[in-house]
Amino acid sequence: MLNLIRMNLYRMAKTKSLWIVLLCMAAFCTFACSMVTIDLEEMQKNKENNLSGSFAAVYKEEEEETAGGFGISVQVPEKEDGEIPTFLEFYNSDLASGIVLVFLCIGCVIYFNGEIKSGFLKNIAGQTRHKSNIFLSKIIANMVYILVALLLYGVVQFFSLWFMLKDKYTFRFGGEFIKETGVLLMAFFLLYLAFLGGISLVTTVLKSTAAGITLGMLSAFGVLSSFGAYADKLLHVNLSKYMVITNVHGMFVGAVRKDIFFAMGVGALFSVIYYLLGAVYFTKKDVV
Amino acid sequence: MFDKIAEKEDIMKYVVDTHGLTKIFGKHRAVDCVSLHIKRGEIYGFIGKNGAGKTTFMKMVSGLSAPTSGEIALFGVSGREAEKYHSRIGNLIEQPGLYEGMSAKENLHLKCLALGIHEKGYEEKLLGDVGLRDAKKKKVKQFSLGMKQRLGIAMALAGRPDLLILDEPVNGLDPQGIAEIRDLLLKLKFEKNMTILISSHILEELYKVADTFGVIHKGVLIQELSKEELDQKCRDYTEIKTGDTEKACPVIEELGYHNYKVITADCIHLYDRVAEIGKLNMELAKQGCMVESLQVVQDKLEEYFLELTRD
Repeated sequence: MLNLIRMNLYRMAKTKSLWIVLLCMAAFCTFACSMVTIDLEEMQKNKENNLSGSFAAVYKEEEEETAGGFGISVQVPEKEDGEIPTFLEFYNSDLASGIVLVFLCIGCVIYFNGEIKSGFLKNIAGQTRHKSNIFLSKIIANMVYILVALLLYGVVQFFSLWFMLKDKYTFRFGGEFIKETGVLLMAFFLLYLAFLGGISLVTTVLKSTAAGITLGMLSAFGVLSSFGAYADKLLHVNLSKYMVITNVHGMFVGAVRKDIFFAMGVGALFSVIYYLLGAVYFTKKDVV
Repeated sequence: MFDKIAEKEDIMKYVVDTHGLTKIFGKHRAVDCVSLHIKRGEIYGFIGKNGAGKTTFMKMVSGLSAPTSGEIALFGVSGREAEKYHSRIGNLIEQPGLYEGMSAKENLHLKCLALGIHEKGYEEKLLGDVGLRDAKKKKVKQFSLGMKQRLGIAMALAGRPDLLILDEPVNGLDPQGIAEIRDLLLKLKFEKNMTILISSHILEELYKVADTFGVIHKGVLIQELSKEELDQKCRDYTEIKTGDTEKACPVIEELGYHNYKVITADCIHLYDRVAEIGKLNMELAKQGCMVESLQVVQDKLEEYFLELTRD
């Protein structure tokens, strides 16, 4: 098992496309930060001119205009008093928007399908005692990729904001910050793992990069959440509450601990379910 | 007790021993009740047309595919226990499974990592064995088909397997490459006592290395024969075309030819003393047998297998 994990990590490190995806994500992060500075300048102007009271009003207005549609919008986190949001709020807002998930989804699908498409699986599947370990080792390598992506996004965002806003911005650190960041990161990590577990499973079963990426992007854009909401209305149940993507979109700084732990539970449960399904598939299905 | 020991020794001498191995895809029986035996240390040539079931059979033996029914005994062990021995099988089935964006050494390193091999210089040695030492840093996407085949063989050899399964390994190789692979296989057999199951469409090439041959047709193993048996079936013979076989046969007997066959009313095949064709012609003429034609025919391996697999 350890050997398979080593092999997967080595392959991950040697796969250029995965680095390109991370690079694109970092570039996007910098771009998003530059947009944020424009929004913040606007917000400051509003505050000074005492126009609409706060940025929140502008944000809400925009939100109402686009309500009902799909898509990802990386916004300046809502602040009632017009105060500049903290770094953690910026970071959390972007992670919850699903934009990082889109990049991760592309990387994950490329990585999972690479082994099947190249036929490399034939070289190792026969000689591996428990074929389910192949899937598990890939999931573990994927965990590393998620962690790297989450940390990279955080670091790039931190330095971008620091570079663009250093004279106007105060970065609040301390015990509480670390604790809150840790809890939120853990929740995002589990939810992302579950989300990508599902996408990996679809990619493995369908052996299609296009299908995996399309499904992943549509899910991250909230199409599945809409189906969930429709099912809720139709069946008078609360299906959305148990959906991974709904929990991703629902995470915010200052959320009740109970809700965060619930989201962690959903992430962990779906991660296990997707792993078990993948393991059964790898064990039962012939390697072609 | 002696019977049991003898039986066990018999089992142990086979590295692969299948009984009624069957694989069904939907309604199609890709492999149909194949009982095949591969002895320890031999090279087994697997012959069959495209779609005959060779690859499916090889996949089942190497653990890539599960049989629908039947049993596979590996290294004398059958059932669930046999699965442990899949780790002792190296394979190259269909096209070599390689990452095009990685170099030859990196691809091989991946396989070595998966098998837990951390020996220094091991990958270079394997690449050297298949003639790719100079191309170890070259990306696989820049490789020719032949180079990819060689790398595929090196991947199969990683971990020093006891059984090597090679599906069309000389596909795309130039004559020099084919000869090199042939030498490598023979070296593995004689120096490492490696058992090899190999399929190839180049029958003459297969004939040069294999000790035993299995012919599969439409999923059914129609013949399993040793090289000696094959030689018997494919040897040269003298073909006599005569208007009167009844008159010719006693003459042939009188001349000391006992190994002959009357094929049709005007055709006889003589399997002995092929070199004495001139003398035979003279004797037949002397005895008043009219000979329409007399020639030495080489029954080629290819013709033999085409005959066997004719629908």
